[in-house]
Amino acid sequence: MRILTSYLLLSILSSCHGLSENFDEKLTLSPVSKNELRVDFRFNSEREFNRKTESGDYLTFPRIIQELLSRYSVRKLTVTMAHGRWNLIGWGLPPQPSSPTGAQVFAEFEADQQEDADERMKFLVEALNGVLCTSISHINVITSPEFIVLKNHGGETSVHKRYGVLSGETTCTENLTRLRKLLACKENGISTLLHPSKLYNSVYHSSHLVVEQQCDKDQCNSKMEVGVSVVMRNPSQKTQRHWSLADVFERKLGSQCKVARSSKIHVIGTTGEITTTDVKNLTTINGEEPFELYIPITDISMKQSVVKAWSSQGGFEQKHGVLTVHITNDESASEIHVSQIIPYYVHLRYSKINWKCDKNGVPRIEKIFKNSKSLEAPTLLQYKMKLSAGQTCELTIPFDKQLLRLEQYPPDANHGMHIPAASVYIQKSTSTYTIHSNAILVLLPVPDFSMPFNVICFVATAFALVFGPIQLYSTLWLAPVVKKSQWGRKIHRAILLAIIAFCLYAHMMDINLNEIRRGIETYFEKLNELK
Amino acid sequence: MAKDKKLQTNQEVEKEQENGSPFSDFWVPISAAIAVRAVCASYSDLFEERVELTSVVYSFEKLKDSIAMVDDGLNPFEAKNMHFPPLTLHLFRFLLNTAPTMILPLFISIDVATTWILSSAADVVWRQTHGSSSIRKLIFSLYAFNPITIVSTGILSLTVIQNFVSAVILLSLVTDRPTICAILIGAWSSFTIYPFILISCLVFRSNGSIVKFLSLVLVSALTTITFVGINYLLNNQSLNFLGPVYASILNFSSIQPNSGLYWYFFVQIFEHFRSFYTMSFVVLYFFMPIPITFLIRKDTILHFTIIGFLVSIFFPYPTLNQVSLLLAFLPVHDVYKKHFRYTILIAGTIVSTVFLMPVMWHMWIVSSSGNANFFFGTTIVYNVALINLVMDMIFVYSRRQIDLEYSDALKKNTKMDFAFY
Repeated sequence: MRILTSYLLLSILSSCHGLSENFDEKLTLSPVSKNELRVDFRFNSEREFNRKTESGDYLTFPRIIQELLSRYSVRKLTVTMAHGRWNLIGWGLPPQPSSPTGAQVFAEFEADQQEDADERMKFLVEALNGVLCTSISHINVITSPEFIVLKNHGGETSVHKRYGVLSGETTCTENLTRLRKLLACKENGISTLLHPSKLYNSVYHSSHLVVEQQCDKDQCNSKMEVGVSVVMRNPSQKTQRHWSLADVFERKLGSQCKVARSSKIHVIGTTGEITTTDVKNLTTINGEEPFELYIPITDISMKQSVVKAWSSQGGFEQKHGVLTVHITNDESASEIHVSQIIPYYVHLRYSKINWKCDKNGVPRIEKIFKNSKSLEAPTLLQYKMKLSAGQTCELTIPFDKQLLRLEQYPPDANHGMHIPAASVYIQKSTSTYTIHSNAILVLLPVPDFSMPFNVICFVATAFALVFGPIQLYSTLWLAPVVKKSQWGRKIHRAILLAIIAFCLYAHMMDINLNEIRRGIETYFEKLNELK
Repeated sequence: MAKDKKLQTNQEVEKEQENGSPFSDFWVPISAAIAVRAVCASYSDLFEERVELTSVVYSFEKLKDSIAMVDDGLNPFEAKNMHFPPLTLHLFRFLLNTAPTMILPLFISIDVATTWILSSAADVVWRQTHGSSSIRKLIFSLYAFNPITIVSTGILSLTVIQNFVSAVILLSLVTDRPTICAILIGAWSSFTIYPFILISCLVFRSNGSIVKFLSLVLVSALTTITFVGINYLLNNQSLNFLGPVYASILNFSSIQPNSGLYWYFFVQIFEHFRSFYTMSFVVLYFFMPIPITFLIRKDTILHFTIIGFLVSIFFPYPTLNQVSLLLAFLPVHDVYKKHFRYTILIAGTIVSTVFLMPVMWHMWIVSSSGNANFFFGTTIVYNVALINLVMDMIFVYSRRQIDLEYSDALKKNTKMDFAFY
């Protein structure tokens, strides 16, 4: 009761400054097949405040996020992390914003110049590393993609967009812990079900953070969504007719989030009907008597039809390769935007890129090819086209793999490096969404890491082989050898031979050379004393 | 079928040679050369990606990529690994758009013309030293039937054009037309910078007058500037081609495995030494012709050969075809023949490394049974062999000067030693 009153007091206080904050949490459980369960957590936080009269009070909205937004003038930011691959055929539409394998960052900045946005992106990525405990410093950043890459980052042109994907980044418990720290209720309510050991022991895991800020003069509205989507196989090892929360999460829901505006659990049934449980309305919930919920094991009959995309790799050697992106449309015509990032370590064969389509042949394609100037910046290929129902198109991108410099290779160079997944944005008359194909692991040619010194020596020697003779022939005079008495040379040779012979003798007789040296030293000392 | 035809023509050549008619002297070898190149072009897909025969500045496939970008309204110099000057781009874009079928015949005729010009140049030199006899036929077949030149023409490598320019420079050098020489050297340097040191050959065509030599250098430099200006105008008055075209040659920035000396070095070098080595290699390269010019004062042709070899050895993005013109020209230096020390060693090394390169490449890149050191080993040995050849040429020159001085007093195997000047 005391907490409640204080909360009320605070909210009254803050409303004087034009501040209001809300927090909603939602959990959706939907069986996608007889042994697979899809779990979606969504935590939404909202904050309305006046920029001038703001007092710096934060109730449910995480302060760090607000600081990121203000410091780097971020209009909108999407960060996703995923591992595993979304099964478009079996599971339908992927959680939006859809995430490719690895980490993905899309940021929109308010900035006067491109350079400002570049710099802000650099700092933002580092800041995100701190906030989310990721290691994405070497993310490939693309400057302002022109076609739509992600659904929630639409065609707004007044902002500077920066987009980057890092396919090698793995997501794990630390990231989840940090995401939980952003929530208003970290220990109560639905967030208690964010139990890493079950969530990461799954066929697909993705988490995202979407932040948005809109200001109308001084009145600002910040929104944050934290989402975790998981597809689990066999959530319960027992043979039974339903799964319980305890089976799925190894946890029970024993508390409520009191500050949340709404707190709901949706269970989706066979025909798509939704059973909603409002956790806020449960009065008896506490530690001793936890809330339990049963999810029927069903085979879903109503599957959403989605556009499918996947990537494959061709080529058999470490120098040349082919990346093929396949896109199959579903039963209705749609407009698609395809974006493919090509990292700096493969170079495109531009004249050989081509589209192949079945049915009505290749439709009219608008394409954009975007280069980034700096040495390690990636290239972006974007295509916009209309596909008729059921049409399949193939984008073939031949490339040359580059031999990099020694320090550009990761520690496990023979593992290969990733080409990020293609992103496909689909626009239909009824809906829009994005999907991602899979990332490709390319084997780059690798130098031998063990012998830089040898190589430097060899090449420098080859160079010396040029300079030695040139120097010799241009400074000295080549002349026939004239025979004359060479006593000096003969004595010199004799001394050398004697030394060699002595060394050999000493070696054979196991004479300690140090002893001899010491003997000579003492001899010299004696000589000195004589003086 | 085609191969049979080739064999037949070869046999015909041999038969006709005995008769010595003008038909056999001229038309048969030329048509055989054309036929071989045409046959090779039909198998070009086997060779066009070969690392020894293509490089970023000579590959026709890469050129097509750049042209495709220009066609799409993009600026190819913002892409990575595009190193063709705008002149090359627009010239070949025009050819590809108007008469794509004519490109192969054009390359073949350029290569055969190179052969003809080279053998004429050799003949001029030969007649000066040996009187009436002719070396034309030997030089012709050495260049025309060198498998490397044949394959390079088949895959439309731009080295064919480079060799053509090189042959014309040689011909105008031996026929004493220094102005043409200077203009051509200037024009060629505007593509790959490195050939500019060939200008040192014109010291011997200036009649000892330093003013004349400097004016020739000026002509050459003006030609280069004119060409850069043309490039600038063709590139929509933008200078952004300077970086990818010229700076990449001078700072070795886009180095990839090739048959050259530097590629592995610049992969392995530590980052904080990179700029030091880059600068020292470039400075030393442009310094090299000075002592050589002082040294080899009495033989212009040998001097040209040496400088030409240095241009191809130290170029950052070379192909095997770069030296084939000079190798074919070697028999002209007949007077030095008896003094060469490592002939068999160098010839054997070059041949075996050229054969080993694809093997090592396969082991490294395709079957992964070897590593980069294997391929590096063959390329470095190949380059050391070429370097030894050049150094041997400097030696034979010095040796020959002694012969001329002492005439009959020396036996062939007299010991030589260095003495202070």
